[in-house]
Amino acid sequence: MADILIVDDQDRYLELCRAAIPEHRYRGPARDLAQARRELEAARGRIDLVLLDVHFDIPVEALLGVPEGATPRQIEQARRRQGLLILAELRKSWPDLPVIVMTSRDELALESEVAGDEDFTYFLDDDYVDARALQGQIQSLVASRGREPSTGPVYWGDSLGMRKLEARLDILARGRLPVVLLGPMGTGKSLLARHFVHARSGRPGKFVSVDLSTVPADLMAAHLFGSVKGAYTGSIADRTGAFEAAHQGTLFLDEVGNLSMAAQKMLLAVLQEGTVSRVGDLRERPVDVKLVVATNEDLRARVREGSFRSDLYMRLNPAAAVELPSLVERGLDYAKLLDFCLRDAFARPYLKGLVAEYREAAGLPPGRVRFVLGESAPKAEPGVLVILFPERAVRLLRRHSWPGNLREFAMTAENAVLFALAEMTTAATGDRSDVVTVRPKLVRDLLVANLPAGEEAPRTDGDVVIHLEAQDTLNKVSVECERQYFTALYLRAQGDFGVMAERLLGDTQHARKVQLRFNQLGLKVRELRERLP
Amino acid sequence: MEGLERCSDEQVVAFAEHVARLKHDLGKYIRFRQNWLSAEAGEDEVRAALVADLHHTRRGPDGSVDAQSVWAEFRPVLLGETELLGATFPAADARVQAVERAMVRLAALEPLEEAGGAVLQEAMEHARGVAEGIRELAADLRDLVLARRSA
Repeated sequence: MADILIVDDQDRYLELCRAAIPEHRYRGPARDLAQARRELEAARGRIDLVLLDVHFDIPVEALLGVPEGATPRQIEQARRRQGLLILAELRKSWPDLPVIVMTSRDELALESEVAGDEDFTYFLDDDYVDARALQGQIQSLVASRGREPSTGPVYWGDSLGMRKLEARLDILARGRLPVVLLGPMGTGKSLLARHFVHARSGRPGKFVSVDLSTVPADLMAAHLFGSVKGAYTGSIADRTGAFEAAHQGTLFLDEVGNLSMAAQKMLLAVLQEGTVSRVGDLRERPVDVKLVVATNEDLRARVREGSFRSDLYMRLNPAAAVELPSLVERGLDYAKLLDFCLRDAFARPYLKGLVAEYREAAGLPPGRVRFVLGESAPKAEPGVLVILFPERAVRLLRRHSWPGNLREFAMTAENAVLFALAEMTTAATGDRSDVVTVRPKLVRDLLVANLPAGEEAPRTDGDVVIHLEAQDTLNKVSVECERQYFTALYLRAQGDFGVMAERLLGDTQHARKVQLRFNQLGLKVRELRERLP
Repeated sequence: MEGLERCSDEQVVAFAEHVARLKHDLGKYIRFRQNWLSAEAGEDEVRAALVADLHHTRRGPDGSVDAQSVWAEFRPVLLGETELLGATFPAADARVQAVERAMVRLAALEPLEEAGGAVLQEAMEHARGVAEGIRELAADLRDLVLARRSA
């Protein structure tokens, strides 16, 4: 979720943004420079993005750029470029604030003072903007502003679906109701509960996690709700349960489908009454716990078959359940995810120690580790150890089916670097000991080792079927192939040219190049957009 | 652009500015909310979007102005009825004529608040025609100005 300031003389952008892109918070509209300043100053750095109109039909007294004794035409000209004048003024105080100027660059071709070459200033691709295009642009800008520290080791990626999910979970984290996390194994449910929900909840108590698949059914109630001495055979002392331990904090129950029927009944009572009674004790102790439960089971089916209480199911707030997609479904930028995972891994003591050992063996001075995705390493810098991940290795990661999802990916990334370090290979980059190359073969071996029994090779990305009729020149054949390929890719990338660029050119930054080729091929974004799901 | 050959650079710029303003005030907003409709939008949503776009085309703190009023402000110059800096715009321009016809037809389809599916569809097509006609006109004039500047 981002905080967005709208600077506009009209109300329509604000109304539509609120209706069509509700995942963000909007302020304004500020009608002129003075109001925009006031909003930005009051926000004290909490504005992530400004949407700035260009044409302002506002009283002449509020207009910038009106000379003394201006003619009506000069006043009209000032109105027509007012947004640019406001932008120039805002830049003096907020030089790196992202601003989307709500017009296309083409439209400003006649203006002399276009501030569009500055960093952090962006334009629309089309003046007649629609919700999807603006939403996409906002998301990518917000994402590129970097993650908030409180998200910790959670990787959200840039996809619209995950951004929406993040915004939703952010709201749920702050509320009092339980949060249900659904999704296949390895999608990061536990990570989210600890590092996102608990972190965002603002609760002063501890985060307590219980994996119910590891707790014997007959001990579950005592484990969760506590027990008093003698409550059961072997109970030799009073014991505090997980609920009491998590008082004023967050209790995460993983694999909640494993709750015994007795524990389900007790959990229901805790949720209804806000008190917990230890096993063997009549005394009720008040507990204030944010409950987060996770499962990869279909709890509704369990309710239907009678092994999960329907009243407890309803108490868990199932309508607001958050379903985490599999890694493949997330349509991730794997290069970014890899970078994220490696940074996370290298922050841990074990890999730090291994790097220190390698430096010592290779005669390298202490310094930082730099990850490079590409075919060649950059020039050597004193103290910098380069971990080089060639594109071919990244491509293998993209093609894998990732049955173990994020967890499997993170482990593979870490293992790849770990083994590469162990091999101390410098073969791909000559004799440079400051470069550790992760060989594609190593990655392939790791991926094959990860595959479930019966699956022998990484899956392909899927075929694109090209239908060709006879053409009178080879060039026409080539263009037609390219047109169909671009169309298929556009639809798969959900209209995101950055994703297409990453796929075609290995870099999301080349989106403009891809869009240019798209236009050259005569493909109409407007028409294809209508085919997007 | 045909018909503007004899105009001075300043006159061409004035026409370009006039149409740029028209694009902003009408071309952009006459299907602003329609542009944001999802593919699954129902008839009520379509009607609401059309009414917002056509009846409250410009909307700010001082109230709203409808599309017909916005067009009425610009059309005399584009239809060659009023001079701009002493020059007359070529009234026969096909895009201007198409925009004029679409606006007349849109007026005939009122009241949209009571319109059914077929009328709403027709209104959407005319609104699109107006937006695209103005877009093309603005692009041609802009290119003409830039061509003259670089000549």
